This record gives sequence, C-alpha cells and structure tokens, in this order.
Amino acid sequence: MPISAFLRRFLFHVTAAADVLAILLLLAEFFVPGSILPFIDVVDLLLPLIFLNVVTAFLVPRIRPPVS
Amino acid sequence: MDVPRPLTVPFLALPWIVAVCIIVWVVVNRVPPSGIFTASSTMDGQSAFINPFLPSERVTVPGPQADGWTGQRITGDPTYMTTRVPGPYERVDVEVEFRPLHQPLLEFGIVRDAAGLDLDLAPMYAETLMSSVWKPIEGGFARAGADARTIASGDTRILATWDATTSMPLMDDPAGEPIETKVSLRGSHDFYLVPADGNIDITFGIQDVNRNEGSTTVAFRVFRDDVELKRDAAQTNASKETAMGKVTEHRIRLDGVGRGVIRVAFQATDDVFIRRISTTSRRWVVGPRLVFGDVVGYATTTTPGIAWTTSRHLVAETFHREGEQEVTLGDLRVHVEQAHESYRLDRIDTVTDPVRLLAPAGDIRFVGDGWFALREDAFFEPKPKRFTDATDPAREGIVAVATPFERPTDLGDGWYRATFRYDIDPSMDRLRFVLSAPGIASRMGAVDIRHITVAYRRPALSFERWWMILRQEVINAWRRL
Repeated sequence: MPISAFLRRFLFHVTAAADVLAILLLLAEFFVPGSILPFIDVVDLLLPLIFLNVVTAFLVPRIRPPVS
Repeated sequence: MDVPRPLTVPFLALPWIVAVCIIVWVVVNRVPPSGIFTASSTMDGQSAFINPFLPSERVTVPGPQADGWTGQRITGDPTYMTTRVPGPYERVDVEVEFRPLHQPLLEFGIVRDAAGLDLDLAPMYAETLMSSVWKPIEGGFARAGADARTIASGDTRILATWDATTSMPLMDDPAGEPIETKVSLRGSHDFYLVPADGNIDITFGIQDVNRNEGSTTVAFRVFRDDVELKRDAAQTNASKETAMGKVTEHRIRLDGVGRGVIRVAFQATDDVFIRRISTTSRRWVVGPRLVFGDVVGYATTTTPGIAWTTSRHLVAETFHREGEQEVTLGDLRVHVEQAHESYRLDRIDTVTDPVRLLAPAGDIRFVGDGWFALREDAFFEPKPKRFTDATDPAREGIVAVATPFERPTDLGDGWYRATFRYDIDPSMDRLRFVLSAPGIASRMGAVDIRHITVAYRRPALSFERWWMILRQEVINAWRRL
C-alpha cells in the first residue's frame, strides 16, 4: 500500500476510534455523572475532536474501498 | 514508497487498542480492584474530586497566598468542603495538612444530612493538649502527675470532655410533689433530670407563637447515656393558625428508670416556646444551649432570663434589637450591644459553686461549657464541662480531658497532619466535611490548609463483589435519572 494512502487510512482509524471513545465516555458520564469527567475532561477535548473530523473529512473521500 | 501489507493491519489497529486501553484505565480507576481510590489536592481549586472550603467570606481564594505558600486560609467558622465520591465506597480517610495561627482549638467532621444539623465532629487540634504537660492516657489526656484513672472517676470538678461521651453519674432523689417553674425558653433544648424515687415526671407548658404560619411538631426524646428510652411527639395547633397559640401541656412520664441521669431532648423550631416546666425531679438542668425567648404578645412586662451555672465560658447572641442588654454572669458584665454578633463571657474567678446568669431583657441565646439551672436549688452537673477553645485547665483545676483526640503529626514550621476516618453510605456521590474553628473571627486567628488527601476504601474485589459494585453503580445511576 502506498504510504500516502496508508497515512490517510491511519488518520481515518484514529478519528473513528476517537469518535467512538468520545461517544462511549459521554454516554457513561450521562448515565453516571462524575464517573468520567474527573478522570478525562471529554468536554475540553471536543473541539480538537471536531477539528480532527474536519481534517479527516477532506482526506477520507480519497480512500476508496478495494474493488472486488 | 509502499508500506508492507503485514504491517498495515497492526498499525491501523493501534488507535482502537489505545481507545480500549483508555476505557480500561477509566474503569480501573473508577472501580479499582484494590478497593482504594485516592485523590489529593493542594487546595488550589484544580482537583476534580476535592473542592475548596466555603463560604467564600470565611476563606481566601484557593491557590497561591500572599505570604508565599499555596493552599487556602480559613478565617471564619464554620467552613465546609465537599468531595466527589468516585463510586460506591464504604469508608473514607481524610488527611489534612494544616497550620493553626492564633487558633487554640480545631474540630473536623463529616456532615451526615442535607440540612447540616447531623455533624460527626472529631477533635483535630488543641494547643493545650499538644503541650508536654499533658500525657495521653486511655480515653483521653491527663496532666503530668495526675492519676490515669481520673477519667473513669467521672469527677466533674477536675474533668472535662471533648467530643467524647462519658457515663453519667448514678443519682436519685426522694419522691415529692411536682414543682412548677415559670420559664420562657425558645426552640430546642436538652434537659437533664435526676429521677425522683426512680421515676421521671416532667410536664412542659408549650406555646406556638405562630410567627411562621402553621402547626409545629414537637419531639420529645428520652435518653440515658445516649440510649433512647422513649420517644414522643406533639402537634402545637391547627395548620392555618397565625395568632399566638394557647399554652398546652405535654407530660413525659417514665417509671422505674432507677438511679442515673436522664436526658429529655425537647426538639422544636424557634416558633415553639416553653412557658412553664413542672417536674417531680428536685435536680434538673438545661444545656449546653440555653435560649431565653421574648414574651411579646404573651406578657405585658419583660421577663428577665435568670439561670445558675458553673459555665466558665459563655457565648451570648441575640437576634433582635430588643435583646440588646447588659448580661451578668457572676461578677462579669458584658454589654450585648448589637444583634447577630457573638459576645463572649469568660470567667477568670476561682468560684466553683454555680453563679447567677442574668439577661434582664430575655430574648438571647447562650452556649456554655457547662449546664444551666433555672432554679438555684435544682443545679447539678450531669457531665463534666465541655473542653472549649477558651478552657484554661490550669486556672479551672482540670487535670484530665476525656477525648478521642490524637495529637496530629508535627511536620515542622507550624504545620501538622491530622487523619480522620468515617464510615459512609455507598449511595452517596458527594460528601460534605466541616472544619470548626470556634472563636476564630473574634480572636483574628486563621487556619492554613495546604494539602488534603481523601482515600475512599472498600474491600478488595472478588468477582462477586465486582458484580455487586456494578449493580450499585447502576442503581445509583437510576436514582439520579
């Protein structure tokens, strides 16, 4: 796999993993207040996460699934 | 340049592995297998688990202080600190690093109820007992050379108590006809009675002054050595009544209590006044809180508040302008010249007999280190005096103090470390602690707090225990929803 394609795919997985993690942590905080935020301030991390998503959105369309 | 195919999968899995690790890390911190979760704070306001002391008018802003240390300075009394409980725990250890400045006595405790009335206070610091003149003995401290059995003797003349319970003396008086005493006491009071021929018979004439509309419930609880013997309640008047209620009588009778001292806790709001007390007990006292009520709307002339007490230290406070007056305690006179201000009466005489306390205008609250008799011949001491910030053992002849106090660890430069342990309700997600520094404002003292560590504890986790805790977490979450 060309390195540029690999880096874009890697970025996609970083963003996806961060999104899933953020959603899980926010859900846990919603159901058990005080269970997450004292350990990780997810709210403060939302802005960098949005930025990451925007960057990924520009790059991800160039990732094409392999043609079967 | 190409990335070899066998390397792509592990690299692409890396973010997901990191995400799983973060979740595991949070779960391990939230539900630690060791059963111990520790949070600490330098009192700079940055901890997510330990909040600074409040209210703000009694403390400085947390963080760097003017004289070069970091923490929080306490200048008023009382102050409160809350902590976030990171899950269901059974016990909490609190470690406080503090520096008292011109403050001889400190207490630290946990607030058990939302109203802030149920306090579990423990001794934190006593300048007097830190001196080498005082030696720790079983159940408290004794002056060097004093008999270690002094505390067990219960001798009220030479013993003081500080946040400790002591067994009350075994007393009994002969039976007699009830004696009525006209009084004007406002709100809750604790009455200590010596049984008459082994029986307790006391009748309260109570009146709801209805300054707040509605009926009031009055609770009567009878104790011997903190064991409750009887509980009773009375309703004052109709729920919509706004006029001053009639004086109604409520009798508490307990036969066959034998020898001892019985405490009758009269629990009511400040809307309820006791206008007369009739009892067969020849000896009965009130304390350590005594509130003389006013007689507005009840009598045409002012009723002076008169009591006899061995209290050496009193704090007087009135809440109305009509209560501004000159208060006399033995030979000591203090002018209570402003409402909502505390005035201290500290006796320096050597008189051991009860002295007269006179508040000519009534309408004033006293909190003493001893007890108050409302008839001169009814005085007795049910327990030793309280050890307070104003107690001077050498002058007052006190040779032992019954207390659970343990000297805090000396850290140098005036700093100490004290540790407290409390059992907690696993369903609580927030704890409230209180730091009491009596008299700190009037003596311009302070207490510096530079570090607090809170360790929540529960047993180390087995698999069954793990499930129980998860279940408790779900129950707590459901309650919050």
